[in-house]
Amino acid sequence: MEQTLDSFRHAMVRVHDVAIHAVIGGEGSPLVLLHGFPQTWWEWRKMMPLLARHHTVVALDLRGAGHSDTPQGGYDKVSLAADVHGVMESLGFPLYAVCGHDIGAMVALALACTRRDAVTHLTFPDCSMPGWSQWEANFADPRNWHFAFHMKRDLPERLIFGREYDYVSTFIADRAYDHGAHASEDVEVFARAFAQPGNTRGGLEWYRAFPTDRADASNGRRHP
Amino acid sequence: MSTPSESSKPMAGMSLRIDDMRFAFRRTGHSGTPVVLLHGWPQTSWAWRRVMPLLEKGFDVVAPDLPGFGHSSKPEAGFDKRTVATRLRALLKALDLPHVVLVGHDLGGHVAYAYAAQWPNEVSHLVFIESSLPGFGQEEAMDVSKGGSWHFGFNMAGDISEALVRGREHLFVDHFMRRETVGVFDSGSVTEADIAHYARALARPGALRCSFAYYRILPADRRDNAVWGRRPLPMPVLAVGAAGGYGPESSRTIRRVASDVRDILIERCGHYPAEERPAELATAIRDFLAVSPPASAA
Repeated sequence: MEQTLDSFRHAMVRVHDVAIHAVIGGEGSPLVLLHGFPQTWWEWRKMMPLLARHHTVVALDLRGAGHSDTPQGGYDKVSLAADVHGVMESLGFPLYAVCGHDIGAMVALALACTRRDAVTHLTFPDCSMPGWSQWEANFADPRNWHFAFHMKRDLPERLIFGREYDYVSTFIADRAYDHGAHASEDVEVFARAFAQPGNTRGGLEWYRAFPTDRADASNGRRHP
Repeated sequence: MSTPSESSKPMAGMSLRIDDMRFAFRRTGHSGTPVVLLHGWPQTSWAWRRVMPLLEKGFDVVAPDLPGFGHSSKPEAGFDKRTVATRLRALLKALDLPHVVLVGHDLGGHVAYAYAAQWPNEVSHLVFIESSLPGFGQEEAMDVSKGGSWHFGFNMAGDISEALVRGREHLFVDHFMRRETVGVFDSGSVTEADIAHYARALARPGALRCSFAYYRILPADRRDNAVWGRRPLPMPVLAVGAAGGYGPESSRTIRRVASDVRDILIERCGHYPAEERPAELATAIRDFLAVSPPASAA
């Protein structure tokens, strides 16, 4: 089942050898929206019509999620940021604002650090960053047990297989404030996307790349 | 009589109703100093199948399935090690074993410590195998930002961990016993049948819930240990590490709460010495008890 929004169009944009799924609509200064785990561009469905009044909105599926490709590697946030920049350039937006949530926020920060000429504004709600303040404390926080679980190779895929809805719904419910905000159909959308062949691994790869991200952040931070 | 050389011959199983639960245990020897063997997570008394025949001469060997594991009951609550030790003490009282040698592996080490700390006069010797106590070193193994294992957080996460493992108990047990980091040194030392044995036990109704409950209660154990730890254990302690397991960690952690500690490190062995190096382990226990014989027992 395809998720669509009125007056938004869908495109598969090739960036080097990876196809990225983007949803585009609205008019005004360009703004790219980057979702978190275990979600897709559909995370932004409620905000996109509102933002489209003032912006050309691009919501995309990160490498490893939704309808985007799920290659073997390239899940560090600098590579994911390069995907985003490639999509924006292909769509004819050399300058754009970025809004990222959760893993998407890590990508947004990496994008701002590596493409400071292209990123005009940066918004990231609710996230800490590998290699930045509070990261180690966050990692050790029992509520973030999933960091280490996701970083474990192969076993999580086997345990989650066939139970994507259980995993995704529990994951969201454990972290939501207003449980009415997530209709079960929307949770099913995310669960089905997560269950697509390769996508469970794809989502987990974002976490497995944390050590690379941490090293990249240590390098990038020297140039605020 | 079972033959001491046969490693996989099952020991006689039996059970007793103690208060609100059924305690399953294996027993062999029946004469001599009582030696109580406490298995680790996610195992059962089956873990001692190769050690028990080697100790039966001269010892009364009892290996219970800890509450929630194996064929023991699956209680609603009481997985803090203080309560587990209290339940175990009731079993040993029912068996008329007021003074014992306690041997604990992994989680069984936590229980053995809780027992020895609360009733030091009833434990003549403690053998602490491949274990690390909450509040006294286990936190390092749990801190994933410093290379700790993912499974502590997963096991403590809540119902989702049960939902993911249910029906996949074999995969789960197999993963732990053969994990790259501290799994068995020789892949042949644990058979598929052994893994299946543990997996079946973990698949019994309530078993996963109980198994994870042992982890979810770790903060309470940490508080108890902090109090008990102020008074060092008086009895002789043997810390057993495995070179391919957590190495010197058992010795390091128990030295923080005991005054009379010696240690050994078993080479060519992962986290499961009772199954991988039963002869070395049994000999180490015998030597330890021979050098400082139980004063109050027998």
